[in-house]
Amino acid sequence: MIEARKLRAGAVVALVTLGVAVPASADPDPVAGKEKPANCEEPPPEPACKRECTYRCTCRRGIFATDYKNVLLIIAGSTFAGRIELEYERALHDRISVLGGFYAVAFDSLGNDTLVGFGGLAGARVNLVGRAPEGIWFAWQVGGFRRNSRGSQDVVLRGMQTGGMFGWTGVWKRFAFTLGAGFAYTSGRIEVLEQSVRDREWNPWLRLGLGVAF
Amino acid sequence: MPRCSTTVLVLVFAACGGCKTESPLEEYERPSYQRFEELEAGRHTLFGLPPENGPITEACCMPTCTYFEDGQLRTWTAPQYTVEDLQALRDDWELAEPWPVFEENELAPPPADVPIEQGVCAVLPRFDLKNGEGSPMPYDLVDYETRNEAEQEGAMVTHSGKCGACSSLRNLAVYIANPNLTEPVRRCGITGLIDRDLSRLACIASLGFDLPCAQAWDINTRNTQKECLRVCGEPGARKRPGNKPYDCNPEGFVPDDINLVNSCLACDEEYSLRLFRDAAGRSRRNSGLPSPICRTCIDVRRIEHRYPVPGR
Repeated sequence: MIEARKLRAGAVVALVTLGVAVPASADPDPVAGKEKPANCEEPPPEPACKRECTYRCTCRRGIFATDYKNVLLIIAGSTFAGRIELEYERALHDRISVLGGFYAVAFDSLGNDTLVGFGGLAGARVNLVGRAPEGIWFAWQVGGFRRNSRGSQDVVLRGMQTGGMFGWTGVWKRFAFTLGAGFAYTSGRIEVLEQSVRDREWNPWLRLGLGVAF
Repeated sequence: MPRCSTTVLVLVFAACGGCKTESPLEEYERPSYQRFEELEAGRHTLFGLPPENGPITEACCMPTCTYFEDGQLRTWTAPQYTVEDLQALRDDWELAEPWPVFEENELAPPPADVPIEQGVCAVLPRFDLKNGEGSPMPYDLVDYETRNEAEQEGAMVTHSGKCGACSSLRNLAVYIANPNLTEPVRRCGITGLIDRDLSRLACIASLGFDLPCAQAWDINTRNTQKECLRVCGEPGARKRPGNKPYDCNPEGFVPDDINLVNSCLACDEEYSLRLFRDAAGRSRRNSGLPSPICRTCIDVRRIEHRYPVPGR
């Protein structure tokens, strides 16, 4: 018993040295090496993962083994198109998560118009490998948008879009990053000078995001 | 964290409210012809405004063409338009019936046997629709067989070939204000690839085009992306000048010579030019407007865009 406690204490010290977060109850036992008093109760068990494990019984944090349930991301890829895009994802289950996003269009690629736009999207994600929100996933999302461009003339754009993509999300410490690719179908209406037309198109949908897990 | 993100968004909106820039017309700078003044156009001079240090020199390409008329060699230089000229095109005239939009943003290619550059498109004032002094003069865009026929009817020729979605004077002002129109339209095409919000068409329209003309450019861009993605997607293709190095004293020029332009533009002209001309009607070449892409003079129409409002 004493040998076992010494080994455990040594392992904990090693883990702390490596900078790995460990549960509070795994601190070195101050009475290690001494004989246990007769009236001493058994130490409480190590705290369980925040989430109940179903197939991976570990609380280790890191790629493919996170115990975080939430991820907040800035979608960096769309910044090239003038967007500030935020996305929140919450794991409901080891393999299923839901997500919602919002974006604002801050500038247009020509840089010569005042352009105000916003849009939102919501969707669900099914994990194929790993525990949500980490791992390899397939997502389906739907959303809507509206834009007003005011420069040499007013251009109003509004519509809906839906699409699917495959991707990967990783969490290292608290940093989350995601990559994805798929296709989106967009349908909407554009208004210019009292004329309007319906437009629709299939587009590749690429995704690159950085953020935090919590 | 959410509070922080909200703050960022509020700041972005606040910043955007204060970053309104001038419209493209107000930013327009009359192109300078100073570097061409000492030069003389010859029989083999190309027409355009070549970029400095480009593959074609000013001596080889200038906004001037020579031509034979009544047995004499004459020169014609494209006029330099002022901001007031452009404003007049937008404010003094109004298309009586807006050009119809292309439904579903689709367009069927024209039959191959129909000549596109036949006849002229002219501005015909509609005095019967005039709404009092000071209001814009309504006009129709009418196809005529010849310039003489148009002038006899009291119409003013605005470009050669049949009228189309970009023939209006409002769109002409955008053409003049953006001598290098290919570049912003191409940037809109790239935006459309990144963004999923039908933003390509909106981006083109925000240059100042009306909707049908923006659609003609959009359909052209989409078709070029489809047919020429490999050629135009090569590394460095976007930064390549429009023209290839060219011998300015050849035995003779060929109209629409694709050896004059880079491979991406050549592909665009092969697959989209006919579709675009049929939809848009107006091009820089058939309107006599110089662009950074030098063209053979035989492809350029000598048209001066002065449209005095009758009775004003």
